[in-house]
Amino acid sequence: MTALLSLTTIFLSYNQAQSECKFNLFIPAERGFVLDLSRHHIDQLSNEISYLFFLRSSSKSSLSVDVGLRRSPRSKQTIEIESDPLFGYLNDRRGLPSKLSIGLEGWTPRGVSGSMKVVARFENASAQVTLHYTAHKEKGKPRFNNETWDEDIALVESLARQAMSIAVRWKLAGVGSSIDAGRESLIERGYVRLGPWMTSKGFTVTWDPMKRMATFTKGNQTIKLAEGSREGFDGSVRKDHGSLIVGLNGELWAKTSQLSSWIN
Amino acid sequence: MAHALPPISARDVDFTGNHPMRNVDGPYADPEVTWSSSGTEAAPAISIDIDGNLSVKFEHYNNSDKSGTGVFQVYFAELLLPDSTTVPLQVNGNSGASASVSIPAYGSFWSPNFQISGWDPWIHGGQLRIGYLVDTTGIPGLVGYGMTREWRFLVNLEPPVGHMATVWHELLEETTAYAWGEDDPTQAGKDLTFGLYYAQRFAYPGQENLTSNWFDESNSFKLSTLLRTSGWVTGNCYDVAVYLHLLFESQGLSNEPLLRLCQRGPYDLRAFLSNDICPIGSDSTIPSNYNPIAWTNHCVVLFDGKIFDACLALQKAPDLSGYWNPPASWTSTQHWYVDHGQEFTGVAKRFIQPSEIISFDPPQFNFDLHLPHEMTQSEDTTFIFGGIL
Repeated sequence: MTALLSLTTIFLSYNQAQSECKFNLFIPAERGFVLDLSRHHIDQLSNEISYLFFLRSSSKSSLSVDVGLRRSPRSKQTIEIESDPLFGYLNDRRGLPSKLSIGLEGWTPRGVSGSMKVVARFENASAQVTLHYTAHKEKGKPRFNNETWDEDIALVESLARQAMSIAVRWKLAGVGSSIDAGRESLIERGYVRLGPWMTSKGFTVTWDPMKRMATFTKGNQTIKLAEGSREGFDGSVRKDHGSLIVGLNGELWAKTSQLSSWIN
Repeated sequence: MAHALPPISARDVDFTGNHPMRNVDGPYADPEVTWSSSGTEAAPAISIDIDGNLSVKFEHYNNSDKSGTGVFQVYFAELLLPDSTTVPLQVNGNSGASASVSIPAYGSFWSPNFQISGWDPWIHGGQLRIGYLVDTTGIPGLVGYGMTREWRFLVNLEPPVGHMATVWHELLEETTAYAWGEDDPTQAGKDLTFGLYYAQRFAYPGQENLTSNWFDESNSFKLSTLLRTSGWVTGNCYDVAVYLHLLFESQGLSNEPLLRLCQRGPYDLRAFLSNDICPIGSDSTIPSNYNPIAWTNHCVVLFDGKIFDACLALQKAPDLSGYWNPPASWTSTQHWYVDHGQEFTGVAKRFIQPSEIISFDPPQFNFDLHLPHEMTQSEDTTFIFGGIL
């Protein structure tokens, strides 16, 4: 019995340090990704990260989705590396099918490679989606099995936008907060539901669930706004509407003070 | 008709002196084998260093009304090596040992501790096999018990340190394979560097994508997800250096901070052109795989004041001889740049001139490959990562 109790204690303390991920994301089954790992981790500086890790056996690739809240400052070295005048990638944020950034800073893939990584930050909240391909050897070099890049980058964009929304909700309402708590926090901060607001202005709405992009049409005007982004397209003109669009339980929420000026 | 009494059954085994161990799924239980209602749960491996002090004791259960004093006899211990040879080990300094043990009725009992020693003093691994008997001759009616048990057994150079203080089994198996037979820290470090470079595990992503792939937003290295991703994966110099650092730590090699090699240069671009390098993942025996690359910094492992760089291979050693391998245990100067007059060796070649930069976003270059080599000593700093995840 003593041995059993000791073993139980070991596993309990381990589970407390490595609890389950505090968010859920839906990936269509036909994409072939199977959940392999679900973790929530708090480091010694109280930074929190939740992540889901998936494996796809058909092409031997892996996919990781992280949502995090930082409570310690980023190191000077990290800032220097990311903002290097020659190789910095902080502003490299538009390599996505929608061509719209996510968060306030971050980066997206610069080209087809053996992996793709999208990093999006909103102040101390962050979302990170990484997809790794494996390779075989060809003429003395690794050749990555990235034939599905185009459809994968679309999935990665979709997940990154959803993860950004979750990160913002956690920032506003607390880590692991409920949908209701998130909604209250958004209302307190002046967010309104985007769909009904645009409809009240006479727009019709269509929704692209993969790009997480809503298209609003009225007469000759078309406005495109994407979840997790403070950019949008007014016709073909890229504009900044000043605050992130936050997705919550299938609804888009936005601050509309600047968007009002977009409407003809 | 007489009914045979149930046999004595095995429960726990407890090793002491071995290193705390875990794998990608979490910590291993200690004691190493734990009896439970669902059966026996065995930790997959035992880790010990070459000077380690390993002892073991066994727990059994007597499911009968007979009690008394028996004899617990460990009659052999050996290490079965991959080539099917065996190394005999000592038990309390002899080929075997025995001691009396009190066996209660309907209760569990532990054997005394037995000291195991005699494995070879270099990095290696095998199957630890221990044969024992519970002799119950002195207890009429009680059937004795005996068996041989096996555990994966890995011999470290030194006790694991730093992030590997609870050593990850996967990394220990990897380093044991790379540095098999070594008893010298520097040579083990070279083996780990070469082993990782040639492992077909990391592939440098190339000029178009220099970002690190295995760090989270808190600067922690995502070892769990890396180990769960099989085969070749992309990784830049920081990914490779941190992983090599963890391999060093798993063998107990000193955990000096990682080193960032930086260079400001006369144009204040912080950019330099490398020597012809063959990045990790490519075949270093093929000359066409060696090309220059533009960098502003580079991360390497520092151990005992020398540099170990598994991210790349160079064609020439510091003495101008043919090399075609990753730099390992090179001085900072040897690794960075040595001017031999008409020739030079090392990682760095010269500063990038502003006229060679076509675009900053994305970075695009038109290197003038006829410009002479010209470099100064790098401005090195340490790189601290936030732990492992």
